[in-house]
Amino acid sequence: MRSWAYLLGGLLVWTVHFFGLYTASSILLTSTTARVITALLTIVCLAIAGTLAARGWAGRARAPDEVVHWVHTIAALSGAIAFLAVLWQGLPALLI
Amino acid sequence: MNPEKGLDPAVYERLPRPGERPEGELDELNRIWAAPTGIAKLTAVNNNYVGVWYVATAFLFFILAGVLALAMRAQLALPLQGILPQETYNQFFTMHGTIMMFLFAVPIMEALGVLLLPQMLAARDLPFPRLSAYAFWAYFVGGLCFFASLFFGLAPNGGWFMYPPLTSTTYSPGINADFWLLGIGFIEISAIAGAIEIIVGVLRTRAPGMSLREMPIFAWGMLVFAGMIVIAFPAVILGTLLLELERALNWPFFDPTRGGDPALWQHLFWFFGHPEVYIIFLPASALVSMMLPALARTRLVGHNLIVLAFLATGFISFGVWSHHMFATGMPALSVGFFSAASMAVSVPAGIQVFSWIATFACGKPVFNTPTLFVIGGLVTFVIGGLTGVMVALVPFDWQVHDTHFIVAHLHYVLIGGAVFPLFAVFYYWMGMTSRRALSERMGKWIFWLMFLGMQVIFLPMHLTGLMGMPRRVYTYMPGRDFEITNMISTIGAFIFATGVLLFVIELARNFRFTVEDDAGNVYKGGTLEWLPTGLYSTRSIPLVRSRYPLWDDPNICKDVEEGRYFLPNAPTGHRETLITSPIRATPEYIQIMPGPSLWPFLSAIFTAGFFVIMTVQAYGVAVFSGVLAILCVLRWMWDTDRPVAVEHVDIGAGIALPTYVTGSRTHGWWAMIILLIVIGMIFLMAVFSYLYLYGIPPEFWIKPADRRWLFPIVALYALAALLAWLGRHVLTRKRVSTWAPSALLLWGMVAAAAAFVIDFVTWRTTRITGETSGQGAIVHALLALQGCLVAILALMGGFLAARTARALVTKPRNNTFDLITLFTLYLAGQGAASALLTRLVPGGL
Repeated sequence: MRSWAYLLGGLLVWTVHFFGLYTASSILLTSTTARVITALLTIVCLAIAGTLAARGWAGRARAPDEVVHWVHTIAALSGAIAFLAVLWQGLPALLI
Repeated sequence: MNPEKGLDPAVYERLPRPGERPEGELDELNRIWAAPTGIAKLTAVNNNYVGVWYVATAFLFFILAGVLALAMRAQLALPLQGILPQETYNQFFTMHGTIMMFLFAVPIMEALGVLLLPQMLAARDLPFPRLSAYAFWAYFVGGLCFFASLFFGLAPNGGWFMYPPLTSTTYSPGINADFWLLGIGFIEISAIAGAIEIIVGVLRTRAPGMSLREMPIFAWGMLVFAGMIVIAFPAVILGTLLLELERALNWPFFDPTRGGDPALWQHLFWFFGHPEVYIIFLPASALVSMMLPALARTRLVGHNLIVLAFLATGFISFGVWSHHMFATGMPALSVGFFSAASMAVSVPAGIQVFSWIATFACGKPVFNTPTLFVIGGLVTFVIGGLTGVMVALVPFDWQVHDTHFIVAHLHYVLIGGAVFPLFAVFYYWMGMTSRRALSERMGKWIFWLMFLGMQVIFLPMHLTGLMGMPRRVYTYMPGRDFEITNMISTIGAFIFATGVLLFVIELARNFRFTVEDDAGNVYKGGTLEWLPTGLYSTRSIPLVRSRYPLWDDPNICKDVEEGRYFLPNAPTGHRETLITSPIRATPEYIQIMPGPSLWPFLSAIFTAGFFVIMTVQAYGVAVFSGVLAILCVLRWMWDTDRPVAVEHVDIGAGIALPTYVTGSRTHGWWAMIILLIVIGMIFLMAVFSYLYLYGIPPEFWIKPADRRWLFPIVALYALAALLAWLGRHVLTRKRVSTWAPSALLLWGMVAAAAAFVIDFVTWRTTRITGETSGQGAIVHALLALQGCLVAILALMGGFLAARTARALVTKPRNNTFDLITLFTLYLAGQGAASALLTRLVPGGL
């Protein structure tokens, strides 16, 4: 289970971020509080996704075999795509 | 980070083994895996048969729904046409959408999974072949009955997404809407059954050495597809249950005058409905990625990126459902978030498209029929994807909402993303199931007719929509400038249909079903499905060392056929396959597989019968059919979970594996966990509905049932969980009889049932009923869900007692016991959570 959580870590971060934003905007509507929560959640999730991407990329060099190398690669890519998606997802709070 | 240590690589160096295999092994395999003949063939469970039947049935529904589309296009060719009356037109567009989405698109992907996955993974079969057969027959019988409703004028007429209040009893008083709500019940069951089969199959039955890194891209696509079904389908299962309860019992979930909200249906439906598009697209795109290397004669460019794209789509597609609801008046910030996610989801699709283009660019493509269908699909899908980004922009969406622009967009996506790839699939893999390949010359005619027809229908339809023609309207007035584009679209529809008709003729000419003397690897693919096979799949199960084993090891076909790899025989004398670990595919144990059986077939017939008969309100007969279905399932289960005489077998390379394993490593445990996730998702959606209704019209909410009862309810559920866990623990004790652990588990069930009864009765003493308000309705829906679980637990209790009495509960571990324990633990957790929610919100927190 730990391996799967690591493999999908970035995408799980995106999920938490998206549903956090949805919950905040549904309850608090288009308010300053909702924007602040969005900004805070986005910063936290960006930090986690970035860390996952960096850790995955660094892990590739230490991988003992091809399978572990592959797991690190996917984890790094998952973190990277999550970083971009989280950043994109948080932007509406600044624009609307 | 080093997942699953795996076997010593030196062990694998012993393969392929030299020398001849003993005589008679192959005959034995043939005997054990033989399919029944004559009428008994209906009881066959081999994936070769069930897979082909499944694909053929789905294709039949594609034709039937296509005929309905042709009739609609004929009606719209000219203004004020009288070919289809308004009511018939309503039924036709509803059935067209419903059949294409529920009876064609999702089932054909599952069907291809059943047909192709065992061969691609070099498994003897998927882990639950009887479940596949059950899923197919429930779908076949139920689907045909559902379609037949058209002939009696009883077909649903509220559109494929069945929005209330149009579908409430006020505006849809007949049983047409019930046909949809109950009629797709069997499809939901069938889809969930297929998803469980596919997830466990992909993760646990791969050939040794086929780690996630080497796993075929189609297996990745099907894994994400099945995972998405597990998360998405519960929303529509709950939605259909709630709407049917509103119609049958007057529980006002969607009635705003009594504390309901019609937008709740839209949330539930689209939480399923938009991922559904990717549920259809992902396997089709995975099939494209499987075919491309052979068609372009090079390896797939960006394999890892495509895997990432699948996974990213699987997640992000669950953040876009409300883009179907931009016109409903959601908070502006929410709308912005959904708009952003809707644009973001195009990125993974773009990754795949660019990978395909790069593969074509790097290779030397041959422009045969499957290549044409792949390229045609790619072009069409990209156009649909771009209009998708357009409608993700809220102001543009408001302009074209519910117009023919949307109809054009969705058909570009679905035909480009799924239908054209499927026709490429038919050509590419026909050689695996037919004595003859299909004609290339005819294939090119078929492609060009379908491709041009598709563009002629839907390109002008964008304009029709931009000019303001609404969808789902059976005619239009002359002089509105809709005439020309509608006429062009209708001509295109008949061109497209001519292509499909030629394909049907081509099938009649050249498709000859076979398992053993097939036309073979016509397009020179490099993956395992092109190994020589029989009904037992491959003679021996190869060791996989690359993504294209047939290209990288020229001897693999010969070595596999001569039994030089794993499990070249049937050492237990039963059907069996290798269960391997999920990440590295290290052999773990031998699964004894079930053979042909009447019980899945009968279970399916009676399950479909239950739903269909319920629709026509013959409740007594429907319940009788449901009871028979349950009895057949129990009889089917009775034969499972029995250790065989041989405890360990040598599978080759000096590896000895057990034939009976229990606990969290087993395929049965995995299947139960996935099923519990499905049930958990239904519950989660019910909790969402509860909070949604509380949040939208809170003035309808009153004081809940007495909170003092919470303590005994939660305590009893905790006791149930404790007794179940204790029972499993006691089973391992040598000095204890088998009845002691079973009795503990049974007492646990009694505690859970008591907790439910207290919860139910104390609610009934309040003045809140299901009809009172949205609060009453959703509270009673939660109680009903829990009641269903308790009823299932009671059946399990009876089953466990009967098996204990017959000494079928083995010590120190037993799979049946494990799975019932798991279910009991889950039920206790859900029951306690449900009681806490309904009594503490509102006002208690």
